[in-house]
Amino acid sequence: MDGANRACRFGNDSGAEDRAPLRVAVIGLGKIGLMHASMCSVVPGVEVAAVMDADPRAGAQARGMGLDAPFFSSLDEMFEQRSLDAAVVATPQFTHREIGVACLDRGLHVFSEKPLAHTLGDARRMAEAAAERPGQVTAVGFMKGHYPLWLEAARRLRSGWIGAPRRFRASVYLSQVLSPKKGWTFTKERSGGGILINSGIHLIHFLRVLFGDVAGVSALARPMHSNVEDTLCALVEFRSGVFGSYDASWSVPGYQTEGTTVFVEGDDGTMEITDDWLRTHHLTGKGEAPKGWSKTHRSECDRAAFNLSPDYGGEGYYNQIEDFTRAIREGRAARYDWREGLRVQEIIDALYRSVESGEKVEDFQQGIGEGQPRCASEP
Amino acid sequence: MFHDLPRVLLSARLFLGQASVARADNLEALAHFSQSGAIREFLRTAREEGCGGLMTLGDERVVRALKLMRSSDPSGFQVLPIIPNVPGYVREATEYGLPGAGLRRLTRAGPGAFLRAALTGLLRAPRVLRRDFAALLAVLCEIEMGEFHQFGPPAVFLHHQMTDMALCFGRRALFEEFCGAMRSRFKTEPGLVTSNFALLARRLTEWDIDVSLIAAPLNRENFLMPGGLDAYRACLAPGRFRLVADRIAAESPSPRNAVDWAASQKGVEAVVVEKVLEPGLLRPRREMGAENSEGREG
Repeated sequence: MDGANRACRFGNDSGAEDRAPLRVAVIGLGKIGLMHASMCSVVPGVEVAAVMDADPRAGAQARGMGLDAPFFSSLDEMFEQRSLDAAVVATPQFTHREIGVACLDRGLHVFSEKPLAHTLGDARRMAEAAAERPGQVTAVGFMKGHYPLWLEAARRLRSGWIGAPRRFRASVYLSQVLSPKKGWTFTKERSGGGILINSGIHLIHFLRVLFGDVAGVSALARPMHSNVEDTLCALVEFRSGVFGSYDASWSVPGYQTEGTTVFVEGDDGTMEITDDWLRTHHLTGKGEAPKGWSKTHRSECDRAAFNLSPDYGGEGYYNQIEDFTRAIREGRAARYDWREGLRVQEIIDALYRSVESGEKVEDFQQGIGEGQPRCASEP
Repeated sequence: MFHDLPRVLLSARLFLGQASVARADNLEALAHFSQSGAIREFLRTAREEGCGGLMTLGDERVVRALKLMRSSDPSGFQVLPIIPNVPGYVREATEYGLPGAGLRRLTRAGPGAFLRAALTGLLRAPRVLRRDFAALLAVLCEIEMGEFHQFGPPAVFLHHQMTDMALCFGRRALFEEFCGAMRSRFKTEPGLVTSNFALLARRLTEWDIDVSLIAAPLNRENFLMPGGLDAYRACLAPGRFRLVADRIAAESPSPRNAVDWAASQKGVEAVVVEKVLEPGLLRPRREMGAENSEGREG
């Protein structure tokens, strides 16, 4: 089956859950790869048809956990021996371009973990490769952008609950780096950086969901325990006119689970978004927005049919795989595809350039194709 | 082998900064409970208010506090361990990989602990050194039970991420091995913590696994309850499972009526509560068990 036929196998076929399952390869069997393999094992209509890792011991480890899919230590061997529809790339980001494009070349739909790549150049090449294959679905693992509570916040913002947004304060903290660390994550040449590209990227992406393309950034950052930046703060201006502060650190004690907060000031109220709560205050109360205070807990929005990590992202991990696989069946784009991954990478790159130069960086959002991320109010 | 669990249990999440409260409250709690003495005092107060035990991961401060409490007053505060301490391993996995993180835990436990694990019948050291996950998990459980065994736990629970990952992959053997090890090695009742009770209940029934004690969220908001309350009630109705109801409300501290509601549900054996820093906020009625055993909602 050539690439075009394979890519169309599940197109425009919303009832395909009753048919043959989508055959997915999970590439990379670290903790995130195992998470994705778990989700692919429980999302209806999906099966883990192969697993691959460059470390031969990873197969035995995965089997010990109960993951019985055929194991391969080379991509070529896997492609030759298994009939696949899609791949989840959960390897370190410096391998995303090589592996992701190789999967596209084989006609697969491809989900890539975030960031899309470790450099802007690699991310652009991936997005260009995807643009040349419109029949193949691509997706990026911005799993927090699949939190129903956060999508509801974005919907309310776009519906005018607090009027036109003017200013924001955004922060993300975790207690991951409190002493010297080693490994590829903490090596700039391999990971692309520290807190910003590895963990803070989810918040950067969500700010795009809320406010769109970025016009300019000014940033400062410092390493404290590792060889990459452990703490970063930035001023961010959006093309929409919204501006605000972004603060990220993975060297803050007391955050065993990642804590994210976004506070938005609008001309008719304010909105506060955390991992668990959405609180708004409306000055005048227009349309569906009640005057005064309202609050919504995530329990009113959560809908995942399976949750493996309720204290961190479980809802998002399930929903993103469901979105990816449903997009394949329905012949549409995933909620956050590689075009969106490129636009987020442009912001990440601009922030790092601002840190290096000490200057404001502007006019860098070019992307490929459609410019604005979709949120809950859009199909 | 069934043990009657205390009707109200305390969760150690507050001591670990992971309670369902505002972030600022969790940070305050972490600072307040940074010393084992503060944890011990809190446990004493909780016991006086009617909490009969503590569900906890293997945290050093908590274990030390329990030892202090037992040495000064050995009477009746039960300890229900949750093993292994998955969050601790996952944090280190970024740097060392999952097997590497587990091996580091072994080395921190010291050669004596490793040797005990090998000599007490597991005999899996070669497989551990080959980074066999199943063998490594068994040894880690052995080491963590080495800390908890002194408290004579009436039940020991498998951490929810182990339970639910095994559920994802259909790894029936993990449940059989865990339950067998708890009964034969540690003479205690096995339990499973899960965030997906409805699916777990169906699988355990299909596989005919001999375990009835399950800890899972149960609340009226369907918070962390995939499938929803109706599905949970359907799983509890036959009476095969005994539920330890956790996360009994979306917010903490749980309102009084949430405690009573959860305790009144059919199949609920115990209720887990969190607390904020004010002793006296929780007042479980001492007669709650007697009141509700007759009039449970179906």
